[in-house]
Amino acid sequence: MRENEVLVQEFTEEAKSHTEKIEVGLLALEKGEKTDDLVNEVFRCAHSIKGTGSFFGLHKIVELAHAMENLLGRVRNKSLDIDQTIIDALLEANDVLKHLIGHVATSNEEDISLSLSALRQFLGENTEGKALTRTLTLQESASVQMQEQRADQDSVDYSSLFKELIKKGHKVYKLCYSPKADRLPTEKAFAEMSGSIHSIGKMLLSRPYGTDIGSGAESDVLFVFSTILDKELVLIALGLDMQAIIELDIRHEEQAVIAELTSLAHSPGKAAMEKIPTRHPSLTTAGQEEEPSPPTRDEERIRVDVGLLNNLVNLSSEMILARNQLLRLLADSAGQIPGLSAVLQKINHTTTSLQENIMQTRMQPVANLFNAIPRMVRELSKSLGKEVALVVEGQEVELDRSIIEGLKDPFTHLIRNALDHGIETPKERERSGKPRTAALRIAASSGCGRVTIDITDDGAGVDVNRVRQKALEKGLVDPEKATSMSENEVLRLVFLPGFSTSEQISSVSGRGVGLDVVKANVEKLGGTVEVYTERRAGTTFRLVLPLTLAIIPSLLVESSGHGFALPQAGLLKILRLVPGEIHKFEEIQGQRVLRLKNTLLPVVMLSEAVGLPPAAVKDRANIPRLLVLQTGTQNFGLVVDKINDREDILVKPLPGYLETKQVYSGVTILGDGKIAMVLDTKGLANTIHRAEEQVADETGTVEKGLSEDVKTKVMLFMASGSETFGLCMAEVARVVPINPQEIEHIGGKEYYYFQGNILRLLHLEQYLPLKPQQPVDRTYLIIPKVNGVKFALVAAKIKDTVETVLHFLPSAFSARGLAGSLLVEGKVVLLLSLPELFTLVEETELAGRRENGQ
Amino acid sequence: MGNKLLTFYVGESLCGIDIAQVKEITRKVEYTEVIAEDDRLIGLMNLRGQVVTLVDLAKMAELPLQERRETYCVVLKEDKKRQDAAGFFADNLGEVLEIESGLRKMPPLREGRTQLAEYVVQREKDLILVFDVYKLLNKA
Repeated sequence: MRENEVLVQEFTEEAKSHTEKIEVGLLALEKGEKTDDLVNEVFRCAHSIKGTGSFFGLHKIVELAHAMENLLGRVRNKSLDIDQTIIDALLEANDVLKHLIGHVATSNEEDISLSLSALRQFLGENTEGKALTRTLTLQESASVQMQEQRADQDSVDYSSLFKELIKKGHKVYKLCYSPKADRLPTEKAFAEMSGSIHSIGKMLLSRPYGTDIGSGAESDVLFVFSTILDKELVLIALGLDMQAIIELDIRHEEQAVIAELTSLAHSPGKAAMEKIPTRHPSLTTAGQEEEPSPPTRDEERIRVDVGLLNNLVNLSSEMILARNQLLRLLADSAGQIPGLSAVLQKINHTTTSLQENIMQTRMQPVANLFNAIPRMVRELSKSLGKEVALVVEGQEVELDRSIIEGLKDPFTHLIRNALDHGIETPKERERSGKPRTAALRIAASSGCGRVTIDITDDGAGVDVNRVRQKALEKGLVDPEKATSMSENEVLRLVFLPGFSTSEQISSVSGRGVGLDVVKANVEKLGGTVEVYTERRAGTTFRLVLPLTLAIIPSLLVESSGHGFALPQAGLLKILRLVPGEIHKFEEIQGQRVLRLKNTLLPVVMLSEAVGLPPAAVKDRANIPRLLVLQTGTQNFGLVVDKINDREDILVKPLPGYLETKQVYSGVTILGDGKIAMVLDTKGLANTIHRAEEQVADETGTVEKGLSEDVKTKVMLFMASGSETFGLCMAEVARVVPINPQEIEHIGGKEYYYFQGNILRLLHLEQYLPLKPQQPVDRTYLIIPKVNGVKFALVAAKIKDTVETVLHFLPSAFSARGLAGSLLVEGKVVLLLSLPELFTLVEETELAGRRENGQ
Repeated sequence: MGNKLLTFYVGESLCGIDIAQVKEITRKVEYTEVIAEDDRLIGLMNLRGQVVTLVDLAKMAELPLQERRETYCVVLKEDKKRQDAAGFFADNLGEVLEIESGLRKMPPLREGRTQLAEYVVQREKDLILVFDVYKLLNKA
């Protein structure tokens, strides 16, 4: 039943998100946020799961959810006070629930008695009353239908039916429904109400109550039904008010109820009602009925299949390539065909926007990654006996979905690491004069096309000397090297496989399998990981990730007549090898090297690495190039015959049949439609003979401080003061010189009308701690590349555009809105972080409005 | 395997594949050569944005290799296991035949060129070697 599969899938996703909310809610309650809303929300989530689960016959899930719901219900109506033990029990039950949901197919066979008893002990009473249910299965719901149509209610054995209902925890209600109130024709009203009742429970009896039967005149209708729901929920589910239903007490007044029902059943008019068709219990109403209040979040969202999104991403990338080709082909003829130029411009612009928007669909907030952390920290700190206060910032920062997925494992490990090794026991902390509770801070920030996530602890810091020692012991580094290495270089050693300074291997970590895997995983996603530490003060692990996986800048190179694409990340230098110089290659232990300044660089011939015969000497009309590449701690040179072009490419995965080749990381379709293999820098490095690992470790040619080596284009400008600001070109859409007189002043703010948009002008002086100066006569507007642009920055002077490495100075001057300060050509430049700036602006607005009592 | 066969020539050998496996047939297109240890792989082709792996059917099926004209490229639908599409070259196309199961015969083992085929179809004048390309490919 394909359809059922899809529905179960939807249930699973929804239920999963509910359990996550439950966990977050419970942890918040634990912290002391004892608000009613919070309890309500957790309750609702459990209720939801129970309700929808029942339609799929997921008995254990329903049972467990029901137990949780009962317990939460008690807390909610204040008959139980929430405390640590209750929260523990609920959290644990939630874990089991998560597990069941993760394995729906086999969930009914799992044993949940432990969790159930743990929960029940708080309920204090025997289980019969608030019975845990075996609720309606799809099959039963269908049979409800049939029972409906079964003519004789007489033959129903109420006594045993009631016993069953009691066991299931159902209640019986009598509803006298007057369709007149709804102004619907009786039959329709009957059908609708009947359908609603079916969706929440089981119909026991239904018939017209008044005397005009079958005459078509409007009359009251009587329903008697059983359902799990409490009265208030029934009323809401059926859209009725208080007086409309009466609960029949089948527990204590069984006989009376039976008598009443029998007499009702026997009344005339039954026959007419049988024929009315009733709706199938719809699977979604069970979910909807639990919301006693309107949905608290008005988000307009729809669910989209991830595969579909991936297709969109692929298609949009192909579109970009096709557009590139189109522009290339028509570049010359554009002038000759009237109007063509404008159309090409439009296509160009639209395609770019399309691409950007589609990439946006794959963006998810990092909150998805961060949600699991509080729980993890809680559990770990308990088991390790440490006290940790967790601070999480920047949850709204967005990352490509697949990057978030890929970060889950590395994250877990880094946090375990911080808790296990970094943070000391409370006693140790007190001894060193630190507060007992350690601080663990997880902060995400974005800017300039990348996202930075910091995991900072104020623990013991990494002992550089011990690292050096351990590395020596394990033979991971050469003794000579070890003494001459800089502190940063030694720190980087922790990322080597097999490295660990801990004395024991705990169950949590210490096996030394962690950090190198973390590094590898992060690099696979196109990011980098760095570590900063200060002895006794703490450690920071910094992950820097690209905003998107898909398109990367690359260099198109050629060797032996074949073309390849080499990702630009990790490219340090390009050298021309003038023919005489080839002979400057030396050989050390069988590995070709090049003496470069005072270092030895291992050299890889691309043709060799891919298995091609080297180009015959006479073909080498060109001067071969040597590309200096960096991977991890090693530099090497790659010799290619030609460098053809620079192109942004979309890397597609290698076809399965080629997976053995480590030098390739994927394939790509170039702008001209041809396919090129994409080289893997790391894979190429691996073709170097192992013995030479030590040889190429640069001593100082690469900047220390572990900053990004890739150069970024930054635009320098000045506002009205003397400070120079910088903004990543990637974030700038346009720069427009304007006449200050055209600025409109409305309500104390400044606006400018540009190309159909009304832009709010931002003066940096208003938001950053700067000295405001006089207004100037020439003004420029910097329009940022944002979707739905509404702000523009005001600049007095546009200075220059430089390509520089984003190496931030340890800054004395830092403020919100600034990503950091750079040193560019001897001058200090304050690099803006647009996202932070915009948030700052909006917050200031909000504060201002509140003050004004708006 | 289904009943409709696409027949084609690889060199002098008349071969067939289940037409349900075929995505499309194009005249020889440009492709990028790939150097791989597996010499059954010829290269990669761009089919409207999808990367198709071109394989040497003659090599895989151990058919006698003569001059290859490689006029047509038969692109197969994606292999369910790996989600990658493959394709191969055919020198000439034959007809699409409807084969009744009665006409199928399992190839006798150890007999040269038929042994890698799924089955053979004996007609009056000729013998059609029917292959399952993905099976052959996934073997090694």
